[in-house]
Amino acid sequence: MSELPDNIKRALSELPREREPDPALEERVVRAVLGRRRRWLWVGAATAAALLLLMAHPWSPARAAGETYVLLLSPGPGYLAPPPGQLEERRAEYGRWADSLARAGKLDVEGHLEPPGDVVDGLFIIRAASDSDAARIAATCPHIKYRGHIEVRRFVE
Amino acid sequence: MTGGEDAFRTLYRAHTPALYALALRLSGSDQHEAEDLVQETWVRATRKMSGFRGESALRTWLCGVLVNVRRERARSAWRMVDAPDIEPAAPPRDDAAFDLERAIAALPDGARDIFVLHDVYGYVHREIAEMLGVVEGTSKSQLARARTLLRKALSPDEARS
Repeated sequence: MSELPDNIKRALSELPREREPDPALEERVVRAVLGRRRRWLWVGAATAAALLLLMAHPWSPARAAGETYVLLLSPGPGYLAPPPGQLEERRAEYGRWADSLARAGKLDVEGHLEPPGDVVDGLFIIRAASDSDAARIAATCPHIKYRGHIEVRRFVE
Repeated sequence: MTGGEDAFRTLYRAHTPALYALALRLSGSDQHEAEDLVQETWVRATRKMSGFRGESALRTWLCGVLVNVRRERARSAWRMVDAPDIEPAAPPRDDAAFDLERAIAALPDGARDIFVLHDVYGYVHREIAEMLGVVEGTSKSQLARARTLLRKALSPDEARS
């Protein structure tokens, strides 16, 4: 093993192991950690409401023909998470993708699961002509670009 | 203040100075990057607390989260768009003026992570391998590489020979 000269070892041992950050960082972090939870709760409630509506009402007339599929989004080991402060922008990008499906009559529900977990973070319920069509639609989701994982499952009523 | 917030602030104050020092060292003393790293580490840690199994000290686990967050950000294309380019630290001009922190900052990313964790923070190869998801042999070889580079950077005579 390559060893270092004593003077460098001594200098290394004297480097500070702790540094106080700007005091403002604490508030920023607390907002990011606790604020995020509150936002997820809201999104979770909205998703639950959407799912209830979905169960209570028949499919809309504009709905595309075919089967119903659930796309389950999970981060996966290589997921490129958004940098701090860009979570909303990332969600908006997913939202624009969902909007394009909705305009084609292929989207029934979009949302996230609460609480966020390691396994599944979000879901879309879509209409597709077949398994391969559903996989093709899933492949256009921005989540794939960010190296996330999408499980495509046919939903049987 | 809620009980949860109170508990989080206690944790934050206990561990952040160590996380921030590590973040500064890994980011080449870029204060903004270090603050972002600390923030993302806490966000990730509170979300993944179930991943902490008590096999290592909480601080060791948090440091591992931070190192992995930094690695992901370094790989990410966004950073190049969003952050101003940081000039790599220049090697010191002579023995008398050597600046150890700058020499560490100038190490290649992978070697620097392992050097800092081992030679500055005293983690053993087994812990580093666990933190970074690499085998111990990788940790050992990267440490040797980092030490060689650092020695050359701090000893111009050796670099020329």
